[in-house]
Amino acid sequence: MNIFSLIFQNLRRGPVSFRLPHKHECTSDQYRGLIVNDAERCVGCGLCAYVCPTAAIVVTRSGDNYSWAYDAGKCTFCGRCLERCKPHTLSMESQLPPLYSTQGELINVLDMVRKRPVRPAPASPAATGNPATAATAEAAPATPAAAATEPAV
Amino acid sequence: MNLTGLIHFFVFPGLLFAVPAAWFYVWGERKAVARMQRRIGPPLLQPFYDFVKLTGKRTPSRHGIEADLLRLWPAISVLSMIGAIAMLPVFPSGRGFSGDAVLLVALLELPSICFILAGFTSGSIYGEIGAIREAVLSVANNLVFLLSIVTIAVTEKTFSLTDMAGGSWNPGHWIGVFGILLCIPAKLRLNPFSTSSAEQEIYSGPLTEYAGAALAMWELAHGLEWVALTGFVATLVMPAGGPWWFHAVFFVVVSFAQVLLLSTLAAATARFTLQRAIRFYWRWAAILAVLDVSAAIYMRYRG
Repeated sequence: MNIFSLIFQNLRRGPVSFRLPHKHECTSDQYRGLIVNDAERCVGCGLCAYVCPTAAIVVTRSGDNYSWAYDAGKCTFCGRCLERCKPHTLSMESQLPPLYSTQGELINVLDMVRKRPVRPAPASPAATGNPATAATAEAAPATPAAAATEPAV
Repeated sequence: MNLTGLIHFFVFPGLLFAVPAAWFYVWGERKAVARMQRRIGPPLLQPFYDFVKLTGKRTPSRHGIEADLLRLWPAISVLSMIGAIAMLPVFPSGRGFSGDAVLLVALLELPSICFILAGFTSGSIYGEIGAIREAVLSVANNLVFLLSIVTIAVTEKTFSLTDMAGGSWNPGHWIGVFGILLCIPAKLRLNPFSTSSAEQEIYSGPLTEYAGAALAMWELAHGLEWVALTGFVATLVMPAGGPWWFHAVFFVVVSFAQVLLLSTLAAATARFTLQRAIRFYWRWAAILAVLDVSAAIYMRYRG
C-alpha cells in the first residue's frame, strides 16, 4: 500500500509543475536567448545570415539599403552568428524568449542603410615629401566612392 | 414517448445534463490523477476545448463503406449512452417498464461493441489488436457485471430499474453494487484494465486511425460512459425518500465521488496484462459473483 501513502503525500505537497505562460525569474549569465542586433553598428555584411544553419537570419540587399530579418521561431540559439560577427553588433538576451501563439510572431526586421567603412585618407605628398606619391594623387583624384572598400565577406 | 420521457431524454438526466457532466467527469478524472502525480492538471473547460478543437480539424479523407462505418460507430455509442442515461431512475417516479434493466445493460454494452468494430473497420494493426483485447476483456468483465445485476434483480425480485433502485438494506443488493463497481474500471478502460487502449504499446488501439470530429464523438461517448456507469451505481444506492432536488444532488455527488475513487485506482495501479485481467475477473470476482447470486436465489426461495 506504499502507493497510496505516496499519492497522499503528493496531494499534500501540491503540484511541482506550473501553468503556462510561466515567467522564469532568472537565467544564467551565459543564457542563449533571442538574438539582438545593434542597428547603429551593423554594417550589413550578411555573415550572420551566411552561417545560420536554420536560415533564421535573412539579409536582403537593395542598393545601399538592406534589411536584417530574424525569425526566433527558426532559431536554434546555437550562437554561430555571434561568433562570426566581426563588428560584434549581435548579442543574445539573457532572458527566456517570450511565448508566442502565431507563427512568425517574433520575427524582427531591421531596415538599415549600408555603412561603408572609410579607409583613412592617405597622407598628403607634401607631408611625406615623396614626389611619386604626389604625382599619383594628382592623376587620380580621390572620390568617396573610390575610397570606399567592400567589406570582407 | 410522452412529455416526461422527452424531458428525461433531452434535459435531465439526458442530453442537456449528460454532455456537460461528461466533460466535467472527464476533467475530474484528469485533474485528480494529475494532482496525485504532482501536476497541475488541465483547466476546467479543457475537455470542452478538446471537443471543439477536434470538431474543427480537417481529417484525411476516406471513401466508401469504410468511411461511413467509421463515422457510424461513435455516433451509435453517443446515442446509446444518452439513451442509457435517460433511462436511469434518478427520480422515484415509477416510470419505466418491466425489464428495462435488460435494455439498460444492452445500451451500456453498445459502446464496447462499437469500439471493437471500430478497431476492425479501421484496418490498422493496432486497431485490430486493441479490438481483440477489448473483446476479451469485455467477455471477462461482463460475466461479473451481469451476475451482479442478476443478484440485485433476484434480491429485489424485479428487473425494473425503478424497483431495483432505492438503496435496499439487503446485503445481496450491496454485494451486487460492489460487483458492478469492480467492473466499471474495465468498462471505462481505466488502469489497471486499460490494455485495449494501451498508448505505449498500440497507440490508441481501435481509435488509432481516428481524427477530427469522429474522434471528438468517441471522446464524448467515453465521457458519457462515465456518466452512465457511475450514475447507474448512484441510482442503486440512492435513498428511496426525499425531495426531487435531493435526488438530483445525490445523483451528481455520488457519481463524482466514484469518479474520484476510480481516478485514485487508476493512478495507483499499473496496467495488467490481458491474462492477469481475465484471471482477476474469471477467478476472484466471478467466484464472488457466483456465490452472491447463488445466495440470493437460495434466500429468495427459502423465504
